[in-house]
Amino acid sequence: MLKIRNLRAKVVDGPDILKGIDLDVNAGEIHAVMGPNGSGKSTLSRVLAGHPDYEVTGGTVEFEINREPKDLLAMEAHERACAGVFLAFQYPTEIPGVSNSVFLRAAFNAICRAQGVPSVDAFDFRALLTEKLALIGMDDSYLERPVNLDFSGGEKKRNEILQMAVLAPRLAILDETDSGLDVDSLRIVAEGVKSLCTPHNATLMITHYQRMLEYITPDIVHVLMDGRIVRTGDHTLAKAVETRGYDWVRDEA
Amino acid sequence: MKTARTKPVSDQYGDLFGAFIGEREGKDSVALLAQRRAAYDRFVVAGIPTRRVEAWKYTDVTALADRHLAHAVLAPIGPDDIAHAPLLHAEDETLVYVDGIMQPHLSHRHDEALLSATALSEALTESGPDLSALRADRETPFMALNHALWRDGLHLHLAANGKMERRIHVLFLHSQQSSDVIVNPRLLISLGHHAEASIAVTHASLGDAPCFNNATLDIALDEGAQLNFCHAQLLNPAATHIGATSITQQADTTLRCMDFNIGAALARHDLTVAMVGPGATTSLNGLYAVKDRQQVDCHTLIEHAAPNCSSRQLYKGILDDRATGVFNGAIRVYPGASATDGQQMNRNLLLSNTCKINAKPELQISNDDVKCTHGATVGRLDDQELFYLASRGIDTATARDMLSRGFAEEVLFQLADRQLHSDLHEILNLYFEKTV
Repeated sequence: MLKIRNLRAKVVDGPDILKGIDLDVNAGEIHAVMGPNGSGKSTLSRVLAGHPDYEVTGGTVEFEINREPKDLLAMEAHERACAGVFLAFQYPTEIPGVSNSVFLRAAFNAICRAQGVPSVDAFDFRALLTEKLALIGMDDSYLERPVNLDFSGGEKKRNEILQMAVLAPRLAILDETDSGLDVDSLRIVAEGVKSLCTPHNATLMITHYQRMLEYITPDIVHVLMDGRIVRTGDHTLAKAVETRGYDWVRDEA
Repeated sequence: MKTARTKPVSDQYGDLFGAFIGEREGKDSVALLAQRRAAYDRFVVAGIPTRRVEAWKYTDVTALADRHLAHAVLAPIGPDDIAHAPLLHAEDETLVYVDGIMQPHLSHRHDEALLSATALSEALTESGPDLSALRADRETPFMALNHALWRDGLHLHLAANGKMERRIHVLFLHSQQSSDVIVNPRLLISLGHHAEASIAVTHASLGDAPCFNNATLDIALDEGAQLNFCHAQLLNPAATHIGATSITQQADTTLRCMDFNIGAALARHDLTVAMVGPGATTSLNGLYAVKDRQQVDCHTLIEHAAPNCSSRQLYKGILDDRATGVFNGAIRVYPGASATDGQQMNRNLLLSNTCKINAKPELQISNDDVKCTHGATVGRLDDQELFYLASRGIDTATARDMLSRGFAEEVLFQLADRQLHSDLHEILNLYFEKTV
């Protein structure tokens, strides 16, 4: 589904952060990308989503659309989203004056249009929302509040997963979704994500710690250091990192 | 050089006034005629301010000094003619003016016992309201002109303890005239002690002809009164609007105000709130949205003249194309106004590279025991917000549209009156539909 080759990227006007990433993700897989602070984890997620602050300086990213590999890097951010790429933000943006329901419906219909599916009316969409809200323990009152405005850290993260549930992406990239969550929120968010994983989609979890991995067992774990993937393994690698630290991986590498 | 600060008015104003005063003789009392003459003299002496005058630094109105203006010629207007006028609702107490003339047959009164409407010509000569509170020293030349030339001025009074459930809507409409006309709406509203009301005052056009709408509005809130007030300036793009609104708050009064400016080629609104009794609170929300070559100039002055008063101001502006705007917000705290809490915020969104905003907050504090804050921002749409929407599949044009509307919605959201909220929302939709 996703094929990254020798991907290099930097912040516009800054030094290289990604220094040659290779990564393959297939449908039905859950990947975890772990790494210390500053290793380039968040950069990887934002570059894949098409964030304008980053510049790709080399390499390729192929994303399969209708079984055809497409050049993801040539697509605008909204086109990537319409093609099924979803980024759950580490720090979700507050949007004053735009209600969550208006925002969700605009996004849902944009993606429906792009994929040639009929958009839904307000009534049917509300029914869909009610079902998805229950999944992550949010009530209707979230819908009329401005997007993420004055949401607590936990509410913001839940709101990201609500969007993921509504938009049903083929590739979900979760950027530090576990950070800033208390134990209860972590469980709700993690179980929400887990219930959304199917054989037809793939999930890329970017994380510093392995706390979320206790709820969702990844098929493949990568360790990212200094802009490169230095080690790839199964879920036991996450445990090893947790107990032995990143220095151990660095030394081994 | 004295002439640099003001521009003398042309003789045409003398002709306008001469024709007008001749027509009023026999209708107005001798005292009122004398007031009109005195006001006209003050206007002529003052002249039209040039940009050398600080309050008019960014808005050039000197073209008014020799603009060819006539009095409106009133043709009969029926209910069908105003069917599409903004903010009209049958359930409201509605008072309709056309070209400055009261139109009883277009107005709807439900509760005349509670809300009295007296012709200002009577109110001013009877014992009536004390208009010395209107502070001659604050009078601009345009207010003086209004005080000379107003026609069917009105005094609306809500009796003490009166609770008006219906919205009161005063609609100043301008008909399609064949010449460039001057109209001088004048309104005085008073709420008796502990009275409660929701009032909207709207200025709108029935056609696309130019006019000079020169309005003054005075509102007096007696002790404990509560007012939700909405001022909506929705004139056509050929109009000139100059408005002065002065609100006086006695002790323990509550004012919630929405100042909405979207129309006219050139619009200037001076809104003054004088808190003269202790414990008064004011929440002032404003929105101006302009494009093409529109000019908008909002001046607010909050006077904290008594202790324990609080004021909150949020003014937002959206500018596009070659439009220009001014926000000048002053908070003045008088000696003795202890425990004053005044906050002001002005935010501006620029949608083009050719629009311009002059934002100027002013604090004048003559007291130690105060908490005052103010701020102003000017910016474009936020890149992070745009990316967030893009990352959810929303294309750039739609995202810009959503964020611009959201920027405005944050102010409209403050309106407790859902009907008014939806009316203004619809009006704003027209602004965005032609912009994006």
